[in-house]
Formats: sequence, structure tokens, C-alpha cells
Amino acid sequence: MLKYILKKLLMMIPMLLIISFIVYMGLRSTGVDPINFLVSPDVIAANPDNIEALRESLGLNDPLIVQYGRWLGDLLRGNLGYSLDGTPILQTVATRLPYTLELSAYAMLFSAVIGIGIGIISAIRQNGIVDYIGRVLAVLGQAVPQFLVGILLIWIFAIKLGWFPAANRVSPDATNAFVDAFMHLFLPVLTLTIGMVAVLMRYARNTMLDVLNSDYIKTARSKGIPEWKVYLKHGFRNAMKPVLVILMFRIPALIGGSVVIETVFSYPGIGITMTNAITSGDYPVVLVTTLIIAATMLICSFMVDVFNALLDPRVRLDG
Amino acid sequence: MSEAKTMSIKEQNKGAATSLMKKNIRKFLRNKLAVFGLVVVALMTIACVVAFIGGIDFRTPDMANMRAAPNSAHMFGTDTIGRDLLARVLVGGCYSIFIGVFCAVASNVLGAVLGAIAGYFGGKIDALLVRLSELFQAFPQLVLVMMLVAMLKTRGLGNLLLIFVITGWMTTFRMVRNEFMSLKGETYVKVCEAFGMSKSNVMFKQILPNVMTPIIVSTTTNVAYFILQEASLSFIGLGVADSTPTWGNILNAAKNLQVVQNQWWIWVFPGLAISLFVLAINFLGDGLRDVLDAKQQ
Amino acid sequence: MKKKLSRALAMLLSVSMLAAMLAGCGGKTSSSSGTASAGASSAAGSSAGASADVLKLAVTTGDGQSTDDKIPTPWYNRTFAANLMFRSLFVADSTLTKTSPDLAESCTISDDGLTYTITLKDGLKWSDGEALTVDDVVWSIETAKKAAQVNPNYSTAFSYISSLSAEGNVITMVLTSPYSAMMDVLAQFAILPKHCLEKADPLSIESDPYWAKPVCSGMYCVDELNVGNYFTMKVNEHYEGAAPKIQKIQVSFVSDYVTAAQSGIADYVYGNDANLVNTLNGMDNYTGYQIDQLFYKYFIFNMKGVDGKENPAMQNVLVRKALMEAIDRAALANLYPSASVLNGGVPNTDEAYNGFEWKYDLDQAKADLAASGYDMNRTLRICYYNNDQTSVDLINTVVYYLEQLGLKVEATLSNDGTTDLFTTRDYDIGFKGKSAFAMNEWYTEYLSTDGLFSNIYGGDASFDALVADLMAATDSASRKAALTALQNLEQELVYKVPMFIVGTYVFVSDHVKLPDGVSFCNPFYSCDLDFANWELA
Repeated sequence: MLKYILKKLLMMIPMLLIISFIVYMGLRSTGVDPINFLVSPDVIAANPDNIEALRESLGLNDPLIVQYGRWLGDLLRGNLGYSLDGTPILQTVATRLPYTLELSAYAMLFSAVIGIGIGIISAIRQNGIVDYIGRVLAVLGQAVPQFLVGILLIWIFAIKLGWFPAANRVSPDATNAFVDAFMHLFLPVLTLTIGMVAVLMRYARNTMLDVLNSDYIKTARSKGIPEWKVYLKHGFRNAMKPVLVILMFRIPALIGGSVVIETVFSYPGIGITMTNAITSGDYPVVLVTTLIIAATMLICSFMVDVFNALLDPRVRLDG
Repeated sequence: MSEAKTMSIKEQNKGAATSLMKKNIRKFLRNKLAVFGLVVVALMTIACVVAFIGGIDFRTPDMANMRAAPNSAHMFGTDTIGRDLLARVLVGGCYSIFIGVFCAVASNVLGAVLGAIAGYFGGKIDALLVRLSELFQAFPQLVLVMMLVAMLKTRGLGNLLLIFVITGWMTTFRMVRNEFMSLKGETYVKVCEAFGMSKSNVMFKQILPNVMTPIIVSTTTNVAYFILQEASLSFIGLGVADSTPTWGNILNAAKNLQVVQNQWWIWVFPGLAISLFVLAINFLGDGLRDVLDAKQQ
Repeated sequence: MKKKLSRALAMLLSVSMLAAMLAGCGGKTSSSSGTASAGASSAAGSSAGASADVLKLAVTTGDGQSTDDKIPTPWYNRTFAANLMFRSLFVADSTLTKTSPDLAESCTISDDGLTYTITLKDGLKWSDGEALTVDDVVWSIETAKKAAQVNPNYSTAFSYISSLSAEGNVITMVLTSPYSAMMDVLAQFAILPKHCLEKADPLSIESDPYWAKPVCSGMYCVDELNVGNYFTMKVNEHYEGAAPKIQKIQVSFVSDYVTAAQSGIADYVYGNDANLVNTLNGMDNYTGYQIDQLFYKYFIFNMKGVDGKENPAMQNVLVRKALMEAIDRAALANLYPSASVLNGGVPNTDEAYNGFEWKYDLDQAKADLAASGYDMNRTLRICYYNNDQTSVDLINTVVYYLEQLGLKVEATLSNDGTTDLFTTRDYDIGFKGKSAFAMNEWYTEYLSTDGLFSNIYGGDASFDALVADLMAATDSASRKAALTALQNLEQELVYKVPMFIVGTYVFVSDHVKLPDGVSFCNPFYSCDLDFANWELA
């Protein structure tokens, strides 16, 4: 088992290398000249010599593979490099990543508790009132596009009612950091939670139903084990496996997918940094943010594998 | 004599199948939400397709009638350059529904086939496919979209379909693969193999039906997922080109708070269209799941 | 037994990994709220009730001009917040063409318009207490010539400087030929501190760490920068002029001004977009000021490069005319809150307007197109780069108009509307905007020496002499003659066609009490707003 885990861990290294290589080559082979994004066109025209010098100093004249090797070497030495406008990427990541993690962690926590809770109750009382209300609410949450939910929340709570700020993460005139954080996080976390709850609820309900309809639950019932014990000990435990899988898969989706929500709320996280970097062709930043998200995704997939192996002995360990 | 006997067995089977079918339909019809979902999905799809084929005018701007509230001439009002919103929502529905259905079916078929192969054969093929799925899964979809947009230089419908399919098959793949790995050790599979049944037969006729329920459910929910995904991509400016009126592109006007506040019809109608359709599809998926779940019968 | 142990260990390992991840989130969360509390405590001096003493400004990010991790730099576009921190030798009035001394004490220009003698005020200081001297001025001008990210207004003007020298507190600047807008340019050009930036690479000077907490010359300087969120400004104690009445300013990084105004974090916003203007006009607590300025919105035809590579489809002038005749610009002007239709670089209201009119005439356009022999099966490709709703709406309408001609049209949102034209030569038409000081800048785009536009017009030199006439024109008669000749030529050649000039609006909230006689200028530039006398209500 330990060997299995170790092997899985080691597999992540070549994966990350392949990903970095593909993204690097993919981004660079698009024929987009980073200079065009770095410098305004009128300026390119006015100072062609300066531009050539800038190109040389950024190493844009070397063969691609050399540039990739240089970048990778720096990365391994812990130097994340510089964005095309000269900011150290480490600094950008250090400021923005915590904001995103904070946002995602809260959204994850609330949606897991609420989503799984409603899902289980719906499954136990199938077609009951909670089931109907829960399903309608959750599916509604999933049906309305997330950015629209965000915009409507801003409109109602930030503008009409003025209860929460409409953007950013920290206010300049904050007197209490905790209250300030709560105020700024409330709406984006709510938006993300609304979307997530729906997914988790569906899965929790469906898998719980599967489990409750299975033979061993029927056997357990027939043995006269109390209902709550059946649900908790046999139902819940077995239903949690696929739900956990989904939950794991939502972590990277949250980090990467909160891009849209960060844009809606001008929330200074890694997602908005990546979007801006993509549109401005700032490939060093795109590379690093991509790798961070890729690494997160790989860790999650690794954990899914481990949980799977632990919970289901039938899964062979030599995969 | 013997011929007549075989006939009767076939008929018996047929009869049993029809009665199961009838039972399922009855069961489905009892689920009011599922029926509601089916009706809404069917009605909306028909309305959109009819409007599209009928050549409804969704592109003529009318500068004298910009941002007009719903009235008798424009039931849904007009958009920021005076185009009829009803027509746009209908035509947009055609594109959005097509995107959703096409990508959901294609990505699930791809995922199921690859998952079956990986789970059944195991070994190197499995390892390779799992790596491949992890590779795809590790790419943020956004980056892939951007790379393709930049390489192809257009924000076309084809690109979007391609991107959605190649970034959408992994969940189904994992699910099917895991099921296959669990099921291939079961006695009945061993028995089938022992009888010399061909591998594809075992895979697709014997094992696959056991995982059809989750595949069907995930296909229906994926239709909704891709429609929403298209809207999100449009929101950050990476969707289909503006000249194609998808629901996402129409809803893009809601980016602006001024529109949200003062011209509700510009965002409410496309927003309602998306939400209603996604809602209906989800109800339909749930209903199908309840009906198809063999364990519940 | 052994297997069980290893399973338990594995479980422990994976759980601890999950825990480590969560702890990572948690740990970083708490550390980030740590910085937040540091920020809050420094702002705590103002206390909750005292937020009325703070002027609230906003800087938009995501439009490619400012980023949310540094103070907006003044060498590309000027922003309101940066104007309060960085001064120039002169200060312009709201027309941007009349200047009075600011850092300079006085300025004399020789009769031939070639020698500028500028005397600097005595005892000027930077916000860190260092003396602001002629060295800073000379260094700034010379560095701007080498910098990559600098407004072409400056690089064009400074390319006329043949020698620049300083002695005592007098700067002597000699030009190669007269440049009528030199004073106006100097009134916009911010002087930066040499002692802070001389080691920085001019090519990437805008990303120097200096911009996290710049040393300033204006009445305010930066108090605190919170990356991604805001920065605050306090009064610069070394400022030699009258101390401003407003003690504290906070500037939030926002994605759009409408939301910022509506959620009460911006007392001053501007824009030309219909959505913004309508919303702000509908808000009782904001007062709008319309600014007439030369903000050109125009189409440009992708002709050919200096390398001779040409776009064959656009070579026939009849095609270009036909396309323009098919567009109803009067109807399109409705998309903007205040747009005046334009037929050339000269506004219709200007005395130098030559009277030519681009008429919307679909039949004429069809006839011209048929006469040109244009291949109707070819897809006409338009590129544009503004992604605000009004621009998107405008392009969609233009596509519709051109489709009425029977053309196949495709519009693409590009990252850059100008360079994309000649780097790929995939597009036939580009849609652009240009915020200009004066009409001169519209016409200098035609110069065959213009590195950018020569790649689009194929380095056609037919405008050069006429533009030189305009630059040298000092009296209104010669100016009018030069402008008339230029209009006739541009309307004949049809390389670029203006749609309209768009008026910009500035909105100020009732939280601010403006002194009498303030008139706002083009918000991309700097001018005298009597800011020292602004008060908060």
C-alpha cells in the first residue's frame, strides 16, 4: 500500500513536466508576440530599436526549447521567474494564492456541509417535502449561470441594500480585519456555494439512494438494526466514497473555475491573475498559474486513488 | 414444430420487454418533475428549431427602438441595438442546445469507450489511458480554450465543440473504468469469458449495461453543464464569436449593472431560457435515473 | 495483521496530506488576514466615523492600462490619482493648450521657436526630502526617449530635441525644427525622481519596485499600497504650494466605474460609454460634466506594408468608398451619449471643415461595389479591440450594414487593433479609437515615417508635405489652408475614415464640494483643477 502511494506520488513528477512542456510549447507556438502585449503599438512604431533591445533582454530571440530549458531550470531552483512586465511571479502568487485558497476553502466547507446534508435527507425521505424543496433549490442553484447569480447578488446586496462591498478583498477604511474579511468574502463565497451545493446534493442524494437500495442495507434492516444506525453506519459510510471523489474533483474546479467569480467580484485572486495573463499573453504568469492548478488537480486525483484503494479492496493496487 | 417453439420464446421475451417498457413509462409518468422536464425540454427545443428553420429575423438592428421594453411588436423587448430579443433567444437556443447535446453525447461516448477499454484490459493500456485522463484533467479548461483560440485565431463554434469534448470525457472515463475494474472480477463475467464470448461482447453487452445508468444521468446533466459552461466562457470573452447569438452571448449584456437595473428584459429572458432549460434537463435526468435504476425495480 | 498496519499507515498519510492542504489554506488565510489587520490598523486612525474625511477615487484595471499591483504610472496615460502625485514643468488649463508654470518658474521661447529656456523654481523638494533639481528634469526627458512604455505624444515631441542642457536651475532645450505643441506636451509630461529610478532599466521602468511606494512631487504621496485592493494617499509635507484641504485619499482598484460609483467607493468617475453615462446621470448624488475633446472613433483600411505586401481586396478606392457609404453613421452615433458625426480629421463645427460629407447611401454603395469588381464570395474581415458593450454593439451593427451590401462579414475581437492589421494582414478593416490633444495627431498618423501606420498605408508619402505645413502653421489662415488640403486628400485616398468624435463625461459625487470655476479636461490628461481647494461635504 505504501509502495502504491509512493509510486503514485512519483508519477506526478513526469506528469507535471509533461504538462509544463505542453503548456509552454502550446502558448509559445501560438504565434503571439509577447512584445505586442508588453508595449503599446504606437510605442513599437516610435522606438523600434528599444523594442529590439527589450526582445533580446527577455531572451525572446533564442530557440524555443532553449527558452523552455532555461525556464524549467529556474523553476527547479525555486525561481518562478518574472512576468513580462517585470514583477516577480513568486510575489504575485504569494499575494494572490492565499486569497483564492481562502475563497475556495470557505466555499468548499459550506457547500460540503449544506450539500451533503440536504442530499442525505432527500435520499432518506425520498419524494418527501425536503427532497422536493431541496432538489428544486439545489437544481435552481445549478441552473442559473454562476456569473448571473454573482451579478444579481452584487446588485441586490451591494448596491440596492448596500450591506456588502461590491469588489476587492480588503477595504482601505477597515477597522476590524475579521469583519472586513467577512464582508468581502460573503457574496463571492455565497455565489460559489450556491453553484457547488447543487452538484454535491445531487451526488449525495443519488449515491445514498444507490446504497439504501442495495441488498446489504436491506439485510441490515431485516436484521432489525435501528433505522438511524442503518443510515449512519451502513448508508452514510458507503455513500461517502463517490461523494468524496466528487468533492476532491471540485477543489481544482473551484480554484480554476472561480476565475469567473473572481472577475465578477474583482476579487484579487489567482484566477483573475490568470485570466488577465492569458488575455495579455503574459505566458510566464500563465505557465506558473497553470502549473499550480495542475499540481492541485494531480494531488486531488492522487487522493481519490488512495481513498478508492482504501475503501474498495477490489481495486487492484498495481495500477 | 421446433420452429414454432422458438417463435413462442421470442414472443415471450418480446412480451416481457414490452411490459417492462410499459412499466418504466408508467413509472416515469408518475414522476411529475421528470414529465415536466421532458415537456419543457421538448417544447423549447421544438420552438427554437422551428424559429431557426423558419428564418426568424434575429439580426436586424433598429436604432430607433434600442432597449425597448416588451410590447406588442417585440414580445421580449429589444436589445442594446434594437434587435428583437424573442427571435434572438429562440435562435440562441438552437445554438446553445446543440452545443450542450453534442458535447455531452460525444464526451460521454468517448469517456465510456475509453473507460471500458481501460477498466477491462487493465495493465499498460489502462495506465496509459489513466495518465492521459489525468493529463487532460490537470489542464485548466480555460488555458486549453485560450491556446486553441490563439492558435486558430477565431472564436468559432467548431473550436468550442472540440474543446468541450476533449476536456469533458474524463469524469465518465474514471467512473466507467472503476466500475469495470470492480465488475470484471464478478462471477458472471468470468462465466461469459469461459463460454468464449468475444471481448467486445463482454465489455459492451455484458458489463456496460451495468454502468448505463450513471452514464445516462451524466449525459443529461452534462448537457446542462456545457450550456452553462458556454455562457461562462462568453462572459469572460472566450466563447463563440459575438455574431453567433448563443444564450451566453445574449446574456452577456448583463455584465453591465446599468442593464441589470434598468432593462430587465435584456437579461431576464435569456437568463430564464438558460435556467429553465437546465432545470428541465436536470429533472429529466433525475427521472430517467429513477426509472432506469435496475436496483429499484 | 501487517497488511492492516500498512493500510492504516497509508490512510494516515493521505489524511495528513489532506490536512496539510487544508492547513495550507488555513495558514495562508490567517497570514493574509494578518496583513489585512496591519493595513486596517494603519487606517484605523481615521476610525469609522471619519471616513467622511476621505476622498474616494477608483482606478480601473483589466483594461490593459493600469494593474492592481502598483501605483498607476504617469508616462502613458495620466490618471486623476497620479496627477495629484506627479507634477510637470507646466500645468495646462482645461483646453490642454494653454499652459502656466508649475515646477518651472518661467519659460522663454526664442523667436524662431527653436530654443526653450526654462527656469526651475527654487527650493523644490521630493516627498522624501531630496531636492528636485534640473537633473531630474533632464534625466526624465532623456529616459522617456529610451523607455518602451511611454505615450507617443512624448516620444514624438522629444524626438525634435537636438540638445538638452542644464546649468544652475536653468534648462536649455534646442529643437531641430519648430514643434508647435511642445509646451502642451511638457505640461503633461511628469517629472520623475532621478535618485530613485536612475538604476532602473528604462525599457521596463514601469515595473520597477519604485511604483509600490513612489517618491512624489505633487501635493499628495502614497501612504499604503494593498496589492489587488487599494492604495491610500496622504498630504506631501514637502509640497511647496498651498496645502490641500482634503487630508486623505483612498483609491480602490476596480473593474468598472459604474459598480464603483454605485457601491459608493468612487467620488470621481469618467467615461464615454452610454451605459456609464446613463447610469450616473440617473444617480441623484452625482453631477455630470461633459467634456468636448477629440476622441476619434474610426475605421482604418489595411492597405499594404512598406515591405510591399499588400491586401489586394482593399486596393480599389471604390471598394473602400462603398463600404463607408453603406454605414449609417448618424444612426450609430445614437449608441453614444454624445457623439458628433465626423467626415475627416476636422470636426464639422471647426472653421477649417471643408464641407465634405460621407452620406449613407446603400444604392450608391452597391453601385460602387459592383463597379469595383469586388469578389462577393470573399469574407470581409473586421478587427476591433475595445470590448465594452458599446463597441461590441457598434461593430455588430456595422456588420449588419455591410451584410446589407451583400457581403459576407466577420468581426473579430483582437488584442490589438493596429498591429494585428499588419502582423497578420488577415483583416481588411480595423476599428480604432484615438484620444488626441489636437487635430495634428490625427494627421501625423498619415506620415510615411510613422513606424506603425506606414505598415498599413504602405508608406505612402503623399501626406508628408501637407502635414509639415500644418505643424509649421502659426496663424489661423495657414492652418485652415493646411487642414483643408489634408481633408481633401484623405477623403480622396480613403485610408482611414472617422465615424465620429465621442464626448466624455466626468461625474463627481456630492460628497465633494468643488471650488468655483473648476472645469474638467480630458480625463486621460492632466490639467489645473484647483484641487487644493476641493472640500468634502
